[in-house]
Amino acid sequence: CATKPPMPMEEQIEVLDLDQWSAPARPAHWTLTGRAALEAGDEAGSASVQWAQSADQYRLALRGTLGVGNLDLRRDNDEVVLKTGDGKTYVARDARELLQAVTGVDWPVEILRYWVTGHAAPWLSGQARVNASGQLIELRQNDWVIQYDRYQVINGYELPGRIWAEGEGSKVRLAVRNWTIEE
Amino acid sequence: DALEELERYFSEVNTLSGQFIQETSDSTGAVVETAEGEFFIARPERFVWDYSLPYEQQIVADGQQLWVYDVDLDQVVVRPLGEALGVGAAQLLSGDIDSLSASFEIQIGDNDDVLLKPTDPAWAFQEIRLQFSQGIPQRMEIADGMDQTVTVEFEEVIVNPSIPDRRFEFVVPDGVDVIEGS
Repeated sequence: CATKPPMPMEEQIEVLDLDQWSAPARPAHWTLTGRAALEAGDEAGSASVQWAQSADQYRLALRGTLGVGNLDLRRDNDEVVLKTGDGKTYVARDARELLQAVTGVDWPVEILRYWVTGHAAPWLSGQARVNASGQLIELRQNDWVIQYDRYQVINGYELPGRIWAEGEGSKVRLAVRNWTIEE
Repeated sequence: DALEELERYFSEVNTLSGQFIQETSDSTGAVVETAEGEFFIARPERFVWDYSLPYEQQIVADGQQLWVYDVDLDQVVVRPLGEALGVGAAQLLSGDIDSLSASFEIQIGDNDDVLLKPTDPAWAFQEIRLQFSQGIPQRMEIADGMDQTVTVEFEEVIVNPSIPDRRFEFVVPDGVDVIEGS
């Protein structure tokens, strides 16, 4: 039988079920700054993003071009507070529903916080595609596909520089300018 | 006074080019982002607003459409220029006095700048201040409803330079997603 030529080094991709994949260490407290692009339905835009996460608390600030499309989302314990550029404030328990109701954008922020550092949401099954050097290049969870590249090592953690997530009719792209890890 | 400066701008300036430094500060007043780039304006309705630092973004209004290309994100969002309120402030300088007074209430601000308040309630939260000197824009400040401000300082401004038309044409690079924004 014809033997397939061996794939060149960087294309040797291993597909693993999540429970078979030994994920790298995950930082509990991090901050990222960079650029985000969002697309949901016919809403599309880009913004500067500042996202500080520590355990379950987070603060996510999006700032659109020339002061338009600003948004500030915080979780303190089990309360989520959303502030929008027009000066309104909304409070809820579920961030995803709140964001979708107010902005129309499906931003699964509670799951994205795992995806963004290159990790799977622990309560969801899925698949990981890992390259020859053990880096996660694609994750599939919850009907979303998340692609990673431009890895960099920060305080000993290997973190992606670009995160492309697409699922359920939405696209979220993040280009991280810098990661800060607080121990 | 400030209003005369505004009228002088709209009557004497047809094209404009220069650099800008943009500072974004949050509701506490802390500067959270400093960006810089270059701009070109050809009235009416054509402008280029290109960020080079800390990220690359090219905004081109070609007279019909507004192209917003985010280089790191491999994404271009294109919208009809009329609906592109997202770049209202930049559009401001490329429009004319009538379209300006149609979409903004124009007053003299407290430190002799021009204070513009959008008349469209959807944008009512925004307050834009424009500072001129000898009819040339020096500074633009955009405040949102969360007490965050974006301050743009115009530098090395050249009035009525000749700018080739192709400077206002946007060519979609290959390999990027083009999205029709609403």
